[in-house]
Amino acid sequence: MASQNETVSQTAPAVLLPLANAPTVSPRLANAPAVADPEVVRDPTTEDSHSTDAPWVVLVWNDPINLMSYVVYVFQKLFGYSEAKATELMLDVHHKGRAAVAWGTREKAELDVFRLHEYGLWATMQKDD
Amino acid sequence: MSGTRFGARGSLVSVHLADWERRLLAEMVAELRSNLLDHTPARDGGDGLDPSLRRLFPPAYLSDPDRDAEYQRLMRDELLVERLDHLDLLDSTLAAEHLDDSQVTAWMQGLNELRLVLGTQIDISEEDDPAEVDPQDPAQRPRLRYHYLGGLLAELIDAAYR
Repeated sequence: MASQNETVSQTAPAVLLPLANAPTVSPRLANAPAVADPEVVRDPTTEDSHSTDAPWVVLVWNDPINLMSYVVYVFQKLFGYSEAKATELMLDVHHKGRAAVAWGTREKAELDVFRLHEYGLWATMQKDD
Repeated sequence: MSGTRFGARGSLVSVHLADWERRLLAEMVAELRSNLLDHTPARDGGDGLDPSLRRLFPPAYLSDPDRDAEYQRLMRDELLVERLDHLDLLDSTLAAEHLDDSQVTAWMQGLNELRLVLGTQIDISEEDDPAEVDPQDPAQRPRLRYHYLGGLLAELIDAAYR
């Protein structure tokens, strides 16, 4: 990721952009074991033969273009993460090459991938096993 | 960069761009818009995507080509429509003095898309130093624009956050 004037290394402001579209689900819930996530209770009629009970994980990959501050902004806006958590995830992407940012059913993961693509992030999904 | 091209104003963001900046943005948005309309392949698969647009339509499934083809078939048109929508919103508010929340989002997405396409065209690296760009060299114009957009986007994020 590209840094821009070291924006993200500055002290995080307490007040963030109004998260008008942010989900109310807390990040902790998204990290919780699958059994705690009500979305994992599936309707078998909507699942194809590939699916198992394994939830899906959404990954964001490092790229040389997206600004660090932009990635932090997108993680907060889409997933309701705190600035600290969003920054931690962004740094994981930057230093480790990728980070898991969301979990859930295949349908939810596809929606999350779509929203991340809409913001220009390099996101993919795979079985979380 | 002056760092004062956007300001927080209550729930709005104020815009202080020079006329040449608004003209430049309008030109770049129009270019990207026509590139998207001309070169995004139809939904029937294949990957005839213009290489510079590849970053705007990334794969969803890295190691499952069948599922990815299905995903692209279902979602690519929708993604294209979203991109055109926020480019239109950016374009229609280029002369605005204030931006509301949805307009700020469209600006961020649009500026970022312009960077993604330019950055892909010039195969930018993370370490590329804007100070090394020669503004007098026409061959370096895409690189100059790429860094210009980066500075602008960073300022907009700052203004919208703080």
